[in-house]
Amino acid sequence: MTACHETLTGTRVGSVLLVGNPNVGKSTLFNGLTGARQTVMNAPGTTVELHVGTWRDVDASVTDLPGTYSLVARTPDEQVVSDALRSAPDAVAVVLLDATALSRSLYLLAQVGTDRPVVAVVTMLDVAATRGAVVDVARLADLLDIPVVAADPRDGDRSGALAEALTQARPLQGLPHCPPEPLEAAERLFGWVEAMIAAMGATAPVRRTRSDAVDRVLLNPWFGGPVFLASMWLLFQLTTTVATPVTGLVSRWVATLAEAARGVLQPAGPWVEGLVVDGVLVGVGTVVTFLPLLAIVYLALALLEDSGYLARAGFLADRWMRTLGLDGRAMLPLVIGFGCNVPAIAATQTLPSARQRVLTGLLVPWTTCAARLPVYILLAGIFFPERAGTAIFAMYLLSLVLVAGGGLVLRRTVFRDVQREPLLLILPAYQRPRLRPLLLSVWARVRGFAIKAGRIIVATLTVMWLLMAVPVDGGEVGGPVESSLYGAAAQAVAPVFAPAGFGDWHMSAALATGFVAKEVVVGSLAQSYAVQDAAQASASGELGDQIHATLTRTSGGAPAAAALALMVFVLGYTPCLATVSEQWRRFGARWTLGGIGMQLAVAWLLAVVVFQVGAFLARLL
Amino acid sequence: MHLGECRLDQDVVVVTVDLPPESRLRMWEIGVHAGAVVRVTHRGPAGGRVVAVGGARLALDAATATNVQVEDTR
Repeated sequence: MTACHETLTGTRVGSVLLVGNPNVGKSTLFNGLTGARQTVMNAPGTTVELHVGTWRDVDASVTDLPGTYSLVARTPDEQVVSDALRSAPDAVAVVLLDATALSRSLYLLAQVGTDRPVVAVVTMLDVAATRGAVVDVARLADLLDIPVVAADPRDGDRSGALAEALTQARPLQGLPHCPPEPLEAAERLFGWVEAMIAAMGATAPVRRTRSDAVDRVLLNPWFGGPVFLASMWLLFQLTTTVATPVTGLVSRWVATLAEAARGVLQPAGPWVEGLVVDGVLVGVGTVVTFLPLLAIVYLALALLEDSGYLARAGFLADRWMRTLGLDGRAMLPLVIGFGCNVPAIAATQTLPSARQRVLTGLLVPWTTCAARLPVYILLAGIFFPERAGTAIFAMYLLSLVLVAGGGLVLRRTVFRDVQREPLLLILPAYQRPRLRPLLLSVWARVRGFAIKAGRIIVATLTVMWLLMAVPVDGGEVGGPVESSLYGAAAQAVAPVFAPAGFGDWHMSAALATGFVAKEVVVGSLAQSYAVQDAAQASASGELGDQIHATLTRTSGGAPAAAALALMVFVLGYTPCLATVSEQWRRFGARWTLGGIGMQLAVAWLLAVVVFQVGAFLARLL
Repeated sequence: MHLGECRLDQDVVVVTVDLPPESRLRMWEIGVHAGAVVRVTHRGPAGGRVVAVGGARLALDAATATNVQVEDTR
């Protein structure tokens, strides 16, 4: 029935390949067949995501391939589909046909089913009916002479019918011979498609639908923009106002657990206690703290996608994003980034091409997330008490400039191959999202983050703890930071920041900690200055005085310029370890490390320029 | 005339698609080719158009819409 083989992944994956146009219901069918027994992985050598799962009823592995309109690949995603099919010639391809766009779907079926066993699954029958296009599935099966299953994967379990159909899978017969030239081949295949459509009598006049009526408002040049901005605002609120209390609650649970563990492990000595609690447990806690936020954002994205609005959002934002050479849908991750960069990297999944996903993923760290705000507030409060709001607002403006400027520069350099292509975007009909497939998809993605990004976070935090714990002066484990290997490294690095006016080990240590999470920068400063209660660290207190004194010394009498440069550096450099882990998971080591290098270089250069210009002006005034 | 000049809900036949070969192929693949009957259903912001191609709806930016030459079905 189904074949087992080595696929392009080099492992025993996929005897059933799901193929279809974007938004045809492949992932929903995949979730229905495999349930929670699925993993998310990148196709080898690419940043294209593949979902692989086990379909227990027929003892087969199922691969959910990216959506495509054709096997003549134009994007890395489409190339993955093409390669996956070529590398598994005996695998059964289950091709999903969109009843609302049967011509387009049959064209893909003709390409896939030339020389391999295929089964067709017709979806969107209900939507097609509302549009006046009735598809006779039995007649279609007769004409194609392959098994055809009528199934809306969004409704009920049709796995039994599909399992039965798999036993009858066979290649298509009667296809025209296609020349190698793609346009000529397309013309011939469409001749075959049109003959099929004519034989079915499936052509129907275009009819106004409920989705068309909704689009009258949502795509209206006057109302569409405000509705789009409101939906983006809502998304931003989800990542901040809604997620913050949940994240805080989980964070407190983790802290309570850590304290309990500390009590239990104390007799084992400072090394064991520190390694387990401050290394491993804090690392696991960091991962767990992100899970509710990610779940909320994944759910929101799935809702937007499943409802059909995501494609409209891409259409509405296309003009703005086109100036940066990005797809309109890139607006979504960039908006989320202002709440938190981690789910923003995850949200790049909504972009149709892998190169666009990487490009957007490299720009996301320059959207100034909420975790950077306490650093701005502290420094602006100390150095610009009368104009703190303006200084913070300037950071948000600079963030927009960095995203736009970075996008333009990257598009003209390493992403020259990302062409400004015409916008050809299929708008799926609006649909009521279904809870079970949504939750399964959220679960698979959250689990993927916890396992893959979690490993990197826990390992890095454990190494950081070791650096902080190892004394360089023969002192005790867990002594003052400046006496540790970490403190020594911070002192060694500090001169690098001298041209930016903040060449001091307190600052470099806090910035290194900020690489792990920006939330801890203020706490790290308080710790290094031995301010007793980090929670009380404020501009007007002891910490404010000490930072002011330090920057006055390191800047040669222009502390405000140095503070502004420090704020700019905090905005521009790597946001946090969790973001890096998510980038690594999705885009691989090369892009992640390249991105870190780019962010550090840009942040340092900008900080130096800001300080030098600021100090010069301060001397003039 | 081109798609950007069509009235809303007017059935038109595609005459030519003046785009680079790769984009023209993609237009073929999603159903916009010489002889296909299409209909502009919405005008979007910045001159974009939503076109009904059979039962499907296709969003095009303004520049692409002007590159699709059409004529009235009557």
